[in-house]
Amino acid sequence: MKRKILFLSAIILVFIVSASGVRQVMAEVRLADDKIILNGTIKQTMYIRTQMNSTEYKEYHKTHVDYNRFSALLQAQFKIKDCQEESINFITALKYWYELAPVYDPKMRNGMSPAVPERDRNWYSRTKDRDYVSEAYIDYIRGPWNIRFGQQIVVWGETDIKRTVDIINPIDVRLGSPGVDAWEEIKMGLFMLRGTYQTQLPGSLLLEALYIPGDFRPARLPVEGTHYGPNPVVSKDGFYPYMPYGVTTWLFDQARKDAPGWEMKNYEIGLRVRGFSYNIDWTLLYYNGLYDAPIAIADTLNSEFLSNYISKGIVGSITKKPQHPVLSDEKCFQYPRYSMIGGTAQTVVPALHDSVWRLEWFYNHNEPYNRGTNADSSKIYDTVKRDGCGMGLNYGDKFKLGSFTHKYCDDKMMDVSLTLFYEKVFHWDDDIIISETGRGHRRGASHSSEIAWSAQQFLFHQQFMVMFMGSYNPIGKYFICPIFSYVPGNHWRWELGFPTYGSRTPSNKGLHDKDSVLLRMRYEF
Amino acid sequence: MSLRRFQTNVPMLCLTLIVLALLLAAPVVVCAEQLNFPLAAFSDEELAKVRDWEKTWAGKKIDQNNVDQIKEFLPESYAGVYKKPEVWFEPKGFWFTIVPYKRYIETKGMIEATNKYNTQVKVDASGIIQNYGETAGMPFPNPALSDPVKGGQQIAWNFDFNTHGDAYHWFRIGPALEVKQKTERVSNQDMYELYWVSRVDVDPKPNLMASNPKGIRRGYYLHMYKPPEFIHTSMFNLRYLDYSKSDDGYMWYSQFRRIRRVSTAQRTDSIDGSDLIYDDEYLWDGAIPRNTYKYIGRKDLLCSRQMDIKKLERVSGQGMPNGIIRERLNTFVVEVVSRDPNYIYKKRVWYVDPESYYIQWTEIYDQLGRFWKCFENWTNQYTEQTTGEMKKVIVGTEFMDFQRIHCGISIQECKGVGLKEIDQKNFTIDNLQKGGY
Repeated sequence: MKRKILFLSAIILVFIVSASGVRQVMAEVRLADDKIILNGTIKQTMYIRTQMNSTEYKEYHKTHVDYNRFSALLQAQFKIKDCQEESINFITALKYWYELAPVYDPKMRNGMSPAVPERDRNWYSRTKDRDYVSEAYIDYIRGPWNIRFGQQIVVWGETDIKRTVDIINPIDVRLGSPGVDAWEEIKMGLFMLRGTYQTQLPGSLLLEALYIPGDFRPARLPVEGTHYGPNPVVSKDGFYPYMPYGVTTWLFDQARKDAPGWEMKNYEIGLRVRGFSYNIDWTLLYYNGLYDAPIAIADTLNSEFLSNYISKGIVGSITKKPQHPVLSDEKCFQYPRYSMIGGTAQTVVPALHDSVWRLEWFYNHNEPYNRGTNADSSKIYDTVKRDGCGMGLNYGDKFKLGSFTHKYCDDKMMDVSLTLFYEKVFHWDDDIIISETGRGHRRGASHSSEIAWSAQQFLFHQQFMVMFMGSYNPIGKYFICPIFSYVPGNHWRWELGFPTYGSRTPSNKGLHDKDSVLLRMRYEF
Repeated sequence: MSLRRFQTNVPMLCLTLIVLALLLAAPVVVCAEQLNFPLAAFSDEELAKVRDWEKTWAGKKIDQNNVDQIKEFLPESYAGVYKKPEVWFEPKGFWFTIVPYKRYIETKGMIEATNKYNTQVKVDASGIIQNYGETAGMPFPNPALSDPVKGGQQIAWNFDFNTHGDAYHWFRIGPALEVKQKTERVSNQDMYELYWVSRVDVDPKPNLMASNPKGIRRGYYLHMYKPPEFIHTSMFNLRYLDYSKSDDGYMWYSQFRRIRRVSTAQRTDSIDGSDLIYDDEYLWDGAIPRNTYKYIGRKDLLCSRQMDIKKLERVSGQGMPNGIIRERLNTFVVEVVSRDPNYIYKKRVWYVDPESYYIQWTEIYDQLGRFWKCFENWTNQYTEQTTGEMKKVIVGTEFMDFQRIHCGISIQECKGVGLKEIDQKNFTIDNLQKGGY
């Protein structure tokens, strides 16, 4: 209790100090005669759950704050050479985070079967190993050439929330989600050689190629019992009093264990051409690499899961003694190779209120899927490869809200963005498991569609900002998030949000019961 | 014999050559006299009176106590700022200094181009230049002031043809201020401007390229350092010769790491918490035919034309810096009304420097005709890298919103004017991509 009071007091103190007019003059830090430029962010993010199963709360939580993360990002640019002919820079981004929720909430960590499994707690709650380095690469520019060598994050997409063609780097959704957090925090850097060449060809073609020499990192999936993860099992019957973690943890950890490491055969390549024709900025791209998400090897997984987890659970429920399940030494998951061609386009259409239109499209070749009886992920029997296509079409515009814009927004228009997503898997069969992957498919449906929006309005000379963002999928799944932001000066940023989720589809619930109040304070420098 | 004849003929030959040269030069001299370009702000008689006035006021610090004595030479709104600083939450008050008027003469390149091209300017019945981009220099070196509409429009065209030394690089420090709370949010950025056509100082002149198929008139490129969440965000904007064509704008938005096409058509959207709309850069940043113009007359105002920004004094949160240096200048007064009946401003009143055609002051009225904003440009002369001549550029601007009691400042450190090395590649997507970390 004392610790909680101390922590809350510290937060309130920081708020009072900043709101009472702390002002800084410098933003970035420049050292060594401008040869080193540092900038970054320090952030404290808190989610206060407003929706939580009462049994879950009693069993696993002492407070509704199930997410309270301190994080910091430091970016540095070292100018090694900077002249007219060529420049060489070393760019690096370091990050650190510490998740406080399991620290101050003993119910989240104590007991034989805690909310957050002990085996994943350190992995989840603080930066470990390679996570410290988000990016670190050499950037060389000479004439039309730009070569970058090292760990990098690549952005190829145009739309914001969904990753339609923006697939080079895997994402880490243990502690963040697209739209709410910056890409640098969600994406994981990969070691690669990347180059661009500006041609003199018609359409100002810009050629880009990247080669990842086998540095494979699977997507990081959220941990059971945490804010973004599956809920802890509330039932007192069956395995759970005697098992230290649930099914999801075993499966996710096994998938992580089975992920291939750095091997040359896991290479990934990407090619992109950027051009301009008929007032349209377009890109065409090709990617060939490993699938970031795990695909089950049906035969092995079923038997290994049975022997290493289910059997232990049975023993526990019979003997009433705690059990210690282990991961299998057999490969239960694979990350197959697939390829994609795609593209983007963006233009301004004067006839439509000078709105900006952006399009992304893709065609996936040999994308891997599991098959299970009636598309049930607990009845996996097979792995198949399918082609599929999809697109995201975004409309962006600005509007005046009559005298409101003049009176309260100082003539700052409201930014509106509306995006339609659609995807379809070819050669469909009803056993393909896709509805539980979060891609918005109804069980048994080959296609999915979704609409996402955001409306952003600055008020009082941009000291305040109101944003209303969200998405809706016809299967009945939605996400709504109003955000209110206060920017008192050069460095401090305060945000208050209400992310609300819902789903009418049992097989695709997402974060349906994770409605929360979001509190976030940032110090940018 | 022949040698002697040649020797006796030498003076004759020289005389002939001198006469011939004079005959050839005469039309130019006459023409230059007719042009009366570059203009001087004051006639000799007026200047004598100004000098007389300066004997009392030059070097004097003007503040709350003595501003009443010179208020006729300030826009009424600004005289009020100095008189009642408490309205702007500055109880200690603001002050500025008066310096003697100093004539500015345009660069040789501008004078030559004006002489060469002014007769080639083609206008239609409504005064809109038809061969825009095909000429350089001031298109109307002697504006037809006897006709208010024509005169006003010609002053506007001259303003438009000031190419700021053809290639200009400056570093902008731009705080947007909440004077009541004494807080500010600063935006810092490197800015580059390059003219494709109508160039007068930097070779190649008058056109940057032999062929300009896209019809680009001007480009600017900016790289942001502040606010911190925008660090390394950069963008470029291309303006076209076609009056009806919207600019093309591209932004590398560092937070999202994407190159975004941005719509530039919403010119009345306010810029990032400031009191500016996109049309307000340079105090007018749009196509000349978008407005109607009316020459009102002359107005003797204190204008900041020799501003050394290092001498500005300001503490954080202060709405207007102290130490602004102002001199008397007999400005052209032009009333500017948008052709768009729904335009955000009912009218602007420009106070234009007749020697450089920069807008020194502008007063802005809202749609109901109520006085709303007043902006002041501070200018100074810097040596052009290419020619070594002095070129006047904008070194800062004060933006004051008198309805909301809100203001912003742009302090612009000149990093180079008349530059050779501003590369057209700055205005490409490739450049955004390379600079995007």
